Amino acid sequence: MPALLSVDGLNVSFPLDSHSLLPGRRRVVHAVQDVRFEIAVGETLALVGESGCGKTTVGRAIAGLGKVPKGIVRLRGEYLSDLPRAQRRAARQAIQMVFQDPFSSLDPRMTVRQILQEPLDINGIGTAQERNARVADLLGQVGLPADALERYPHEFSGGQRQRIAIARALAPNPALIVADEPLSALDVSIQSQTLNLLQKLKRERGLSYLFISHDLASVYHLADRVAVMYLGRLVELADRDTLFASPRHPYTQGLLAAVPRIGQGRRRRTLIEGDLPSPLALPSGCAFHPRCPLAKDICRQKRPEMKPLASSPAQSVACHFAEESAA
Amino acid sequence: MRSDRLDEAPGQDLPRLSVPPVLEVDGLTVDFPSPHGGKRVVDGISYSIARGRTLGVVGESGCGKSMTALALLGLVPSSGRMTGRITLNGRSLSDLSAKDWPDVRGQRIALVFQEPMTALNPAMRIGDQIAEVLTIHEGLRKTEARERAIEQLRLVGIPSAAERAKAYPHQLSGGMRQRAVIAMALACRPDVLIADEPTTALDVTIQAQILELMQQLQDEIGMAVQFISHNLAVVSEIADDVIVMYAGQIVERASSADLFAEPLHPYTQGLIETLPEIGRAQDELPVIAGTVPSHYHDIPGCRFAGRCPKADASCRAVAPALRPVRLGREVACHKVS
Amino acid sequence: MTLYLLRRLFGMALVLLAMSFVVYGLIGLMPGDPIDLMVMSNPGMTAADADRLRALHGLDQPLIIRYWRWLTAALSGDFGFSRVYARPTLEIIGPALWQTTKLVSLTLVIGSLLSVLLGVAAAIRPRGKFDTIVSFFSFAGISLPTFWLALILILVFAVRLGWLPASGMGPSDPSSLWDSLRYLVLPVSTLVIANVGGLTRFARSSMIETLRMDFIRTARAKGARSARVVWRHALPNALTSVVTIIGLNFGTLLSGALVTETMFAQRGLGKTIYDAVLGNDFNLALVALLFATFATLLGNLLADLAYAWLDPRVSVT
Ligand SMILES: Nc1ncnc2c1ncn2[C@@H]1O[C@H](COP(=O)(O)OP(=O)(O)OP(=O)(O)O)[C@@H](O)[C@H]1O
Ligand SMILES: Nc1ncnc2c1ncn2[C@@H]1O[C@H](COP(=O)(O)OP(=O)(O)OP(=O)(O)O)[C@@H](O)[C@H]1O
Ligand code: SF4
Ligand code: SF4
Ligand SMILES: [Mg+2]
Ligand SMILES: [Mg+2]
Repeated sequence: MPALLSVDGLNVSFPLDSHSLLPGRRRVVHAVQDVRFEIAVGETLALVGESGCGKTTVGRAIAGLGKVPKGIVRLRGEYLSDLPRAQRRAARQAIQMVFQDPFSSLDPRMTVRQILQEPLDINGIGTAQERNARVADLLGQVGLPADALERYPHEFSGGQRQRIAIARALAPNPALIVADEPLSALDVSIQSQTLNLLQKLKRERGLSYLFISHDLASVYHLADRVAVMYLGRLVELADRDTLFASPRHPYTQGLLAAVPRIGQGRRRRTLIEGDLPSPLALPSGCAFHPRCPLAKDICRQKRPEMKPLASSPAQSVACHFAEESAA
Repeated sequence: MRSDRLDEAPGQDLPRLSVPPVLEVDGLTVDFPSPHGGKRVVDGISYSIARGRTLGVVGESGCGKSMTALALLGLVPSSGRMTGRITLNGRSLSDLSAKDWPDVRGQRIALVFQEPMTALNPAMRIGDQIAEVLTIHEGLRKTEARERAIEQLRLVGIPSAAERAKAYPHQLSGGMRQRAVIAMALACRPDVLIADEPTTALDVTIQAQILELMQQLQDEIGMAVQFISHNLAVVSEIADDVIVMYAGQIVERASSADLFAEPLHPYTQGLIETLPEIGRAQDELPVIAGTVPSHYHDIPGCRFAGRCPKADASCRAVAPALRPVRLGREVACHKVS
Repeated sequence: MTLYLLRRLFGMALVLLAMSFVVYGLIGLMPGDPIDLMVMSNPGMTAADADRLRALHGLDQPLIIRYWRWLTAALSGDFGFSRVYARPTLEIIGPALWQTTKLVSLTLVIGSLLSVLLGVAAAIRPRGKFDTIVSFFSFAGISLPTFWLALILILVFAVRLGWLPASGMGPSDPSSLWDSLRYLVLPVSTLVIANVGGLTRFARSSMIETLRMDFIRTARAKGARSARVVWRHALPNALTSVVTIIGLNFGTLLSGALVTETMFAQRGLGKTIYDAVLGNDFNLALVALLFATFATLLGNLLADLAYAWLDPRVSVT
């Protein structure tokens, strides 16, 4: 499968104390380090990991929002950073983002029509008539009634708002949607509706997703492959079934054990003790070693590289003991 | 006592009902009157919890879970009106005066809130916040209370508790803060602990730690726990009994094992079916169509009728009452026999 | 902390430097210099005398050179002479500064305490009876012009009732504390009334906002009674923003004080600047203005420090 998007050596860091008058020690948060993955056409890659591990930062970097990242982002084989400005912008249209909070991501003073039409106008897509037709079509695709067009975001429930946000992302006809926790602000009974919508769009339009979530059950449902992040780095990447059936990184194992499941009753679910360390003072060696039940001396000294397993090359793990640590 | 729950045949907890409940709630109703009709956000709910047991309360956003919790502490906002009977250890709380409520709060009934980020006073050291409960209720002196606070922090698994006691909330991680909140709630060994979505704001690995901690402390202290959550999976792991709320009312009540093995109310069935599940690949998830009606207060029939696949004319005309249908199970639905 | 202080002080020095340059430049660009004034008041002086004097005082040099001379002298502690008083400027500014400090700090202490008390009491029952009354008087205080207020106070308490002196600063060797405080009562009251309204409104809304926060609910769920909830939990948090506003308003308060002093004929910084400007005493005006600026900057710094002290989340590094 040709890669739609490929990312290599992605690094994003945020300076702290940027207002300092005197030159002093500049502290830096390395939010994302050396992240590398590919997304194929029509594929959903899920990005999971705990709060603050850098998921949103990866998503924003790919969607071209916020800081310009270091590293290589290729879209259909072309280096995004090498393209001339105008072309780069056009290429960026192929990647759209849906945010977590449908309440704050929609401008409350714009009607749904204006919200959906804006991306079309900005990019000068089609004639006025075609745009009108397209807006109506978008609304249908996300399952909202046609009379929604002239109404304002506050007149809709959370789930409906998230549909509007998805329709807006679809407007420039993207190839990839970065969905940053699109479910977590929604009610339980609405989440499955939204998951189905995402899946339907994927089926019908051959969309690819970068699906950012901390809900592993939704990830299992939607993703083809799963990337696990810890403190700014990928620690494991595999296709869905492999990852859920035989996670190899101790963090992935702990994460999966901690997921509450119906019908399990009371059980031991904490393989991982302690808290996430501060991203300002990253542990030496393997960043996971202070919480890792398997940590040995080498883990404190040497950072494990992300590499494919000898036994199953489609699964990459960053752990010194990955070959042995089958759960 | 609880870990063998899964092995029990359903209905076997009947004898336990003879243990007198610690907390009994009868016909609890919370109204927000207003010139244009007002709304009844909690509508006549009744339940009880026995010592050492955990009652899970599930339901969607806005169905009245938190308001129920606040009512138990006499903390319904001043614009609201609460009626119904609350009995704690056989003593009625409903007619408690504003002056006597503070003696119950934090001492007999304690509360853990959802947001550990905002539930703590940002300008006060956490040790002092825990010590405060002890000075209020047990009249301890400052130094004594401080020592007990450190002990509490140790109890909830905070490393180097003596130093952490001097920290301000913003200096702790989310999980640490929630531990501190739990330490505060349990300082006076309450009879009832109400946990209102205590792990919703936390990461899964931290959530697992907190849930384990709560169960362990419950085994030690033996309090009754009312565990509020919209996360069915969490409730299935932690609760003995469950009530399912929809639009201000209880629609189903059962032991946790029964409920998740065989949900009876169409809403509960829908909720459980719609959840994606690890290890079960599906092309499409079942859904509950539509959304919770926003003005459910004056719907004459079943409040779920608008979304229910089994609804018919009688459902829309007559509201179903919560009634026993099997041993130890109650459902509010005309179509369940 | 030390680094932070050094940084702030460095910033203040920069502001003062810029300020001195601008003021010096403005005065230098004005037509007429001190020698012209001498020529005017002394008909026996010839143009040649004047030029000689100018050369003597360095006034024939370009502005930038003169400024540099003034600056190096000032940095070594020599702020020059006052033309009108024929004394070193510092000797005149010293007592004036003390007078203004007394007025401003009394106003600050009384005004802040009063507005926090009123604001808290009003916030406990928003739109209750007490809140309505406080709101009314706050708005009245905000909308009264200061000079008018001062006049009314003088008329009532000094002229009609004769309880307090209408103006002046009292004897130079007061026999009792009250003897010197008497003269401050009316100016301080004027300033307090003029400033307390806005601050009370602010304290009230800050308090109402704080009382709605989650941790207040936690405090009540712990069994804390109302008084404890208000004073122990809500107030310290509400104070942080009140202190910020006090700091931001410090400049306004100071300028109000300068006006008030003038009204009550008290020789503070305000009246000194006023007289110096009118009397073409440029040097004195310049130095007094710099001191007023310095006081404002210092007030802001103190407010920021207090803010950091009240709110543990803010660290001054
Ligand atoms: N604009 C910014 N300035 C400074 N630091 C930032 C900024 N944005 C993110 N960070 C830091 O970068 C790290 C990664 O943040 P990010 O939001 O990507 O995490 P996340 O995985 O999306 O977390 P969550 O699950 O909480 O959304 C965090 O430590 C965060 O504090
Ligand atoms: N002060 C108030 N005045 C009027 N209505 C209120 C007030 N507080 C809450 N409500 C209403 O009461 C209902 C129940 O709210 P409650 O907070 O108990 O819901 P919940 O089940 O806890 O939801 P969530 O899962 O979102 O926490 C909601 O519809 C809410 O709009
Ligand atoms: S490298 Fe070591 S510390 Fe890191 S995950 Fe593997 S075993 Fe644990
Ligand atoms: S009473 Fe009718 S509408 Fe209500 S849940 Fe039962 S079947 Fe559905
Ligand atoms: Mg994020
Ligand atoms: Mg709630």
